[in-house]
Amino acid sequence: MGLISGSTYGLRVSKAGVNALTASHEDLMFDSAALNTRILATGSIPYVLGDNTARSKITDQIVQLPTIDYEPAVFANPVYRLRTDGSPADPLGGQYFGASSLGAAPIIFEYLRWEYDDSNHRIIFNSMISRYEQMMQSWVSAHPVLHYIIFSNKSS
Amino acid sequence: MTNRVWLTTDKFRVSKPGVDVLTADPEDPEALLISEQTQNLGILMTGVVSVNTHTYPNYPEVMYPYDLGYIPFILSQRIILEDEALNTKLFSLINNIDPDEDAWGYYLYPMKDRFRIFRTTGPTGFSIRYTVFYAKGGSL
Repeated sequence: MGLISGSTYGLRVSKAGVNALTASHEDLMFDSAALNTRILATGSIPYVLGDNTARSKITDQIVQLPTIDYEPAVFANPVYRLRTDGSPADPLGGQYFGASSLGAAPIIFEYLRWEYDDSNHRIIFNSMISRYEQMMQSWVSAHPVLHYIIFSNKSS
Repeated sequence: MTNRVWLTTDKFRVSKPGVDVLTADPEDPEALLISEQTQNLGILMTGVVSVNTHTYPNYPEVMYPYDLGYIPFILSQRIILEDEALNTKLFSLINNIDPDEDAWGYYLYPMKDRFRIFRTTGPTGFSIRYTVFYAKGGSL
């Protein structure tokens, strides 16, 4: 921390065994001259089985953010649980896993969207997936939840 | 000279060049590189793994150095040519090259202590490169 070179001041943290003053970027754990991102919010939202439908839904679920003046970058994905009664049995049966966000096997995924409410600094999630009992997939059970991570990048 | 580092008993902040850390808004991503109020996006591991034919439930898996206790955030790409990649997607890389054909490629399923790869139709073998981040989406 201090004078890095010339008149440039900054903070560098290097990997073990590497000189922070001369390290290349890939050997630095932190470099105050480089851009990075920070996490504004994380959490999970349960899907709710819709009435008389074969769908599980998330409807207008709100995540409140700090007061920011930009639209943040959002990552979100359903999390399922591996079945324990498959044949042959999955050795990881019962474990949770993050599912793909694309609408193909083994997850029947219909939509996932979010909007940024810039007036109130919040993200509003909506999603729908096919009901797992009707999916007839070999290795998915239990109702999913939606995990989300909201980053401090300006995405627009 | 601009103040870049602010270290007290309850603050640890580093600002970007030209931004005074003493007056910077801690919520502004254009102002601070580190703030004691938010977590930075750290990398747990990176690598390349080959994906070949497999059958249920024997999927290719890559173990983390230890059980994280939660499902991490992972980016991956299928390597198309040497040092080239196509169709970068979060968690998965399956986009139809031909819209009349089924999706082909793979899915990547992050778990607490490993990730699993589910290969779909398409080439008989290929490699993907991956980055596992510490970021935690939820409690599972």
